Amino acid sequence: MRKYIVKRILLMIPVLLGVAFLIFAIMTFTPGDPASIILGAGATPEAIEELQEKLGLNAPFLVRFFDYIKGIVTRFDFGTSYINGTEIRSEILMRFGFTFRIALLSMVFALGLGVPLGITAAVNRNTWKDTTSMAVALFGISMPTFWFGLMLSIIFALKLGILPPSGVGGIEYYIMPCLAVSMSGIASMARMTRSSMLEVIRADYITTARAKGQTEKVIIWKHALKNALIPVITQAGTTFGILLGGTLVSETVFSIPGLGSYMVTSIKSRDYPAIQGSVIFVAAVFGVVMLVVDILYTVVDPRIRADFSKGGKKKK
Amino acid sequence: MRKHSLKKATAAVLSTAMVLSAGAVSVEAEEGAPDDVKVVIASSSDPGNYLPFGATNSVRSQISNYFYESLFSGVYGGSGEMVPLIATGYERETDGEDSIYTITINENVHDSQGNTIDANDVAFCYNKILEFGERTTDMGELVSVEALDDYTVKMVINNEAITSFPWITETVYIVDQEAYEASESGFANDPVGTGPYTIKEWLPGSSITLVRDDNYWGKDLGYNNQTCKEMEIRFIAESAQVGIELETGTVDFAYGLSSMDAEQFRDRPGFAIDEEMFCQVRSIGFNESEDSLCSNKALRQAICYAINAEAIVQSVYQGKGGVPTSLAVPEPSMFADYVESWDDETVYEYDLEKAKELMAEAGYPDGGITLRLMTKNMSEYNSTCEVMQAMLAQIGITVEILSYENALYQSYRYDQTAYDMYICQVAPNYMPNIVGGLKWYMDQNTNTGLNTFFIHDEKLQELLNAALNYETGDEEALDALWQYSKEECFLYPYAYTYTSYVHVDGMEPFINWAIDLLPNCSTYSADWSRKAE
Repeated sequence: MRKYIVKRILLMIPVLLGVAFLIFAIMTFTPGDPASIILGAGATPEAIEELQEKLGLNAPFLVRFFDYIKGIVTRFDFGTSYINGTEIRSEILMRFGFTFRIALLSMVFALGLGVPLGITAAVNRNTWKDTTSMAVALFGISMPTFWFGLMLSIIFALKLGILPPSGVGGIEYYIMPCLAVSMSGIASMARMTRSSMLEVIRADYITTARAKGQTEKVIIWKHALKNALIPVITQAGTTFGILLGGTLVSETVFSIPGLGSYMVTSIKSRDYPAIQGSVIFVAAVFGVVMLVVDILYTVVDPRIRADFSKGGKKKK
Repeated sequence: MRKHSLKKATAAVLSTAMVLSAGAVSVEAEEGAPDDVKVVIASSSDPGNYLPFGATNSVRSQISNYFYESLFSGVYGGSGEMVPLIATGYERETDGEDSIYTITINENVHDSQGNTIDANDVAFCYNKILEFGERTTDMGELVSVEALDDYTVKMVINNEAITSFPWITETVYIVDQEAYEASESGFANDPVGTGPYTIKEWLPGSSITLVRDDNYWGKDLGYNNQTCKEMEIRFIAESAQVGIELETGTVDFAYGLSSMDAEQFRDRPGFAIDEEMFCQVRSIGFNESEDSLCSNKALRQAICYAINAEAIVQSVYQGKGGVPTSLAVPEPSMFADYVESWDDETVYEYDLEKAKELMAEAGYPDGGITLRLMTKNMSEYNSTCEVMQAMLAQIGITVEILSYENALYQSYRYDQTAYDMYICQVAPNYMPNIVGGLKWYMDQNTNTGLNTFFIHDEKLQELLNAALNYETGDEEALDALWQYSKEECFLYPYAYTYTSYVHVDGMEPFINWAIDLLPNCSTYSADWSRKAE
């Protein structure tokens, strides 16, 4: 198992290098120029050219790329922002804190509501409970986050006055953004859990459990759910990884200075170091989340755990 | 060296102006107004840093002016009038092409940490600007600044334009050299200035809170610029959310609400809407290079005659604006060089028949041509382009709309093969002279010898130089420049607009030049409920 984790971590290095190269190339060959943005609409072409030289934008692509990678590897230095001169590493970490809070709370909502909804639908297949659960899921998937966020704001902040409309602060500031973000997560979790559970509850061992006189509660929550969890974990891991990359719409509607809004602002102003640093960071975080998901498989499914052990023994 | 005496050139006169202009900040603290007022303002974007010596940035300036100060100010005087701040006055002499200013500094200036500001600090700040090089476009005429003694500096400006000195002395922040050098971020996130407020709390991308500096050195200047104790500026990008914040009472004043979101507050108890004319004119600029069909003057004129500007004002801006009669908004109080006779002019008044005649004269009697109209990807501009597209179709011109995000727009602006016409905003921004705003568009003193229309026109340059020149620049010279520009149809101004500012009752906002709210100069009622902690 340990070998597997080390191998996965080592595999992340070429992946991150590939991501860095891709984003570097994309930014280099995308039209638009940070010097023009910094100097504003009234800048002359001469002034723009001068600043491009100062920022090192006129150096060859590969030279810039290797300098950048060298900075990250040797000093963990993602550079400084062209636009505001701040250190990218500290800016990303500060922004990531807000995004992480939203992502985590959203996952709690998504799993806490989506999984029970899916189980209810599966256990009560073709009944009104199933139909209602799936209607809720459909509603959640179909509803634009932007619209739902504003609706939440109107209801809970404006009409009821129980939550702050936007900004950051205590836990109360995160409830609406997380609800807005998690609606599609709740829906997808519910659908995934339902289909996975339906497959499992038809299995022979569930029939055997019933024949042995196990209560329905134990059968569903102990025997069926555990075996139906693999696709749910995959889905949850992917969703969590994506959320950690920034919840742009929610961040915009609720004025949260997260990673998503930071990346979009950086892209608009062609702040290359900020874009590159953020993308590499997000890729690394996604890689780590996927690794954790793989490890969770072994916790949930003893067959996979056995595979790992077997693989380890073979190599010996 | 020739000593040149000008009516505004003595410190004595400026000192008088200072006393007079103290009343220029139009508001006085309302009797009984509480001393611990807190005001919360919604702004759409966070400047991200408060670097004092970088390129000018209007979003950053809005906030920086609370904690940084310059030698003179165009903010407190109203309509861009130049009033003394850190400086007390100046004298001007000329030496060939150089203008030499001797500027005296207030002796009691200190920053919020108590560091004294003297002539060496002033020279240091200007030399930093020259060293950084990000302001060669707007301050290219500045040659040097040096300290003569503790409270006197010498500033040399080469080929001085009428706009140079005010711009150079109003837009460079003066900070203490030692404090600046001690800052690891170069004041990007820990600014220390001489202004009336200091930063209490700043969460990048979310909000910034400023608190009144009780030891502010400039209390006696009489600008009454500390009327509130605390200001919280919250960065809220979404206009609809700003509306909700206003309604819930978490925000007191909103910048940049869309007209639809602002309208819902009209006649609503507890709220007021201020409508101010925006200082720039929406215009079409033409690519007149050989790469574009718009190098044909008759075609440009045909386009202008075919555009019904009034219809654009009504449809795109819901009537909140008008059709300009020149390249400046019709508000003489905004500009020192506004030409009154422009009020009686018209610019290519809508005339479809004339447009068709001009199309024939241009060599396109049946139309059949396609032109590329470039714009920033913003809702109002996109709508404008669509309206223009329909209008120009009537004279046989097919318009291809190229809507780009800001970064692309800025890049393609300098590419003469990228477009035929573009939507822009003309006239000065934070500048009291109209000619200053036209310089960037028309000046041909560039590496390529071409201006932003991609042409070299000797007569245009001559007229521009005359209007810009410190000695010859007057209304007559500016009018001559505009008349030639209109005749040649370099730019076509089609709309000026009003901006709506929504705020809660109990506040009389001081809005500077229709761009900036100055909460620190606004007045608050005695029963203002939000208090500083």
